[in-house]
Amino acid sequence: MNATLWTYLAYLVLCVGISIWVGRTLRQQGFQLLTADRGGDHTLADAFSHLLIVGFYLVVFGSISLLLKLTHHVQTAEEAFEVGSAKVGFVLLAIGMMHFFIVGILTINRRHDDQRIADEEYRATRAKNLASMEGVKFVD
Amino acid sequence: MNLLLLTYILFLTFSVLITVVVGKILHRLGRPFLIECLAGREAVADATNDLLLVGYYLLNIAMAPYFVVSRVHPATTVEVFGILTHKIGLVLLVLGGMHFVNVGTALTVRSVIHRKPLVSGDR
Repeated sequence: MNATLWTYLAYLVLCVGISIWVGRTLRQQGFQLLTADRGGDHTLADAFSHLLIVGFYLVVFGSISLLLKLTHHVQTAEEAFEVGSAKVGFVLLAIGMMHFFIVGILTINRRHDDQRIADEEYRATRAKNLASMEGVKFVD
Repeated sequence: MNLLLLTYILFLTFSVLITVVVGKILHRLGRPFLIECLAGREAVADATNDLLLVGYYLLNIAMAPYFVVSRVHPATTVEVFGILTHKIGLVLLVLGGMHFVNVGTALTVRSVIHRKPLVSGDR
């Protein structure tokens, strides 16, 4: 087996390993981010975080695959390290950007949820107060 | 067999395989999500789900022949591997982009239909 093939293999093992680790963390902690301190039905939150992770894996594996090809054949171990680390660096940047993208989406959804729940509570309290005031006569 | 021809055949097989497998996964996982987004109307959600799957298959299987042509003629199997992964990477990136667009559209539809929180608020 030649050096190019070894570089490919090392690159693939490293990048796929890192992306699976990040993906699993995102799956578990993303679900927590959506549902922490919340009762009720978590089906939708589960489906949503799962769908986001599928997108994450598609984009990350796409970038790994796209960046794999070497433009020239490596001859020595030093060359393999130089070329390989540049590629792994690009893949790590792609993973990092996808990570922040997904954490951003999850955070925005959580914040909207908090706002909507606060709105519902406010409306419920207001309706209750208005109902309790029914029949009260105000005098001038 | 010619190595270029081998690349083409492998690429077409892989891209169709990936498209079908990912499509099936998304079809299964997306169902509860779509039902919620469409305010519990299961029939509409199932129809939308199937339509999305058909559109996805059409777009991605039509895209594969468009990506297939390679300017470089591979001389070794390692080069075949390089060309193949480059093309499959493009296909995967397009799949990922389309997927995020679909999820975003479903979420937008949901927030237009009803402004309920994603996770219910009974603490």
